[in-house]
Amino acid sequence: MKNLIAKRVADELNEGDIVNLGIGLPTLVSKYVDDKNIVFQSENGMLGLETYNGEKNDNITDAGGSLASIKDGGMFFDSAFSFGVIRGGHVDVTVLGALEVDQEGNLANWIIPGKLVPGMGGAMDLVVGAKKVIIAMQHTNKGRKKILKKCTLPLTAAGHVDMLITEMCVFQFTSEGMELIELCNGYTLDDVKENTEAEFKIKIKST
Amino acid sequence: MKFIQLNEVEELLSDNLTIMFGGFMGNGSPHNLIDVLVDSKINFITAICNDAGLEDYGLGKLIRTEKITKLIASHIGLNPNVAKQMNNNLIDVRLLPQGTLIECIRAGGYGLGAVITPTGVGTPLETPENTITIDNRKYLIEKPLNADLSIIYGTKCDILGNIKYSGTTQNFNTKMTLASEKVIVEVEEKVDYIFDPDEIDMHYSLIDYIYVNKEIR
Repeated sequence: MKNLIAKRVADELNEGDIVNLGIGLPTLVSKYVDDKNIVFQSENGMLGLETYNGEKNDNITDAGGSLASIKDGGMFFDSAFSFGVIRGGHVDVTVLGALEVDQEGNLANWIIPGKLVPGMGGAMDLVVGAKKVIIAMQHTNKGRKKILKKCTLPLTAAGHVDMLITEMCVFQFTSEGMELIELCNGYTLDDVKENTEAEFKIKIKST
Repeated sequence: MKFIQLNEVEELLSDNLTIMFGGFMGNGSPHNLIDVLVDSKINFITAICNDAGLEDYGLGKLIRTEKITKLIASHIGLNPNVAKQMNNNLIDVRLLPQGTLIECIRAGGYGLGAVITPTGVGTPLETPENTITIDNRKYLIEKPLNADLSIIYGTKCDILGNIKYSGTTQNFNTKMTLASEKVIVEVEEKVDYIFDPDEIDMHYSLIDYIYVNKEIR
């Protein structure tokens, strides 16, 4: 299921885009971008991130701290430059997971007060800075709704989500509000409505 | 700049220091210098670092000793000891977005008065006191960060102490070099010549002490 979501996300990426993938499901997106010459950024200091290709270099890790590699023609830099790229609007697409998304395009993905306090890391900067923010996640959390009228958890950022892709469907967020634009993988409109608290317009694009 | 041995590091330390630690999840971390602090008698450290490492890796080794009583970081989730110590009131943690954290460190070293960033607007980081509107856009204001000591990493140094970084090890290290009163760098290897100016990432005149893991002849 995660791979289906990742594959659909990859369809949104354009030739030559600078893309930053969050940890978890979003990292799977890199498997599906072969011909597009995507430049992946790793927030800890590189453009040209590549999954570890076996050439062990302890000095190269990804944003999760795991061994990684750099493509030919890639660049290393420090964290100030990295977040200049991120905050300064130079990342074309960021793909992140979520605890909650709401109909106003608000995102919560860094803390469950009293229960889980991992910290925001680079997420707040990414959501504010990237030209396009795609949330990629499973539609519900074991049946519990994640797509809400209003986030209940502390926000990562307010109103910056552009697109939400789950195994069931694709939503986009525009100045007109939240719109359902695609049903996926055999799911129906009723499936989506039953599993989504948020209110949205239906603007399913005909293929 | 002075080259030192590990056993000379402890005399540079005392209680109640604010220390910046370089590294990102242990990558580009000064591992042997951290071990010195782990074994030392100092206490009540305020640590500034991107993260808390893992339970037994990077800054995590020092977190385990409970010598860090205050931590300013962007991400702590991969070290469960931080949450445990928070619950037991042994550590006070201040979380900042990673971009804000590195900018506060950069501002501290670069002599700026504040960081003004759009990151965190509309989140619990925003308060009535720390917001400013410029050209109709809201920003948060954060004060610069400085420290007594930067304990950081370098990949290679030359005979003068100029430093080169390899791969993603630069991360917070170069900006932390300017933001503290004293700077101690742990370097993996020292070569026996002088680097070309085109090649270096940090000049020896901005560093106080270097500990070298391995000399290359």
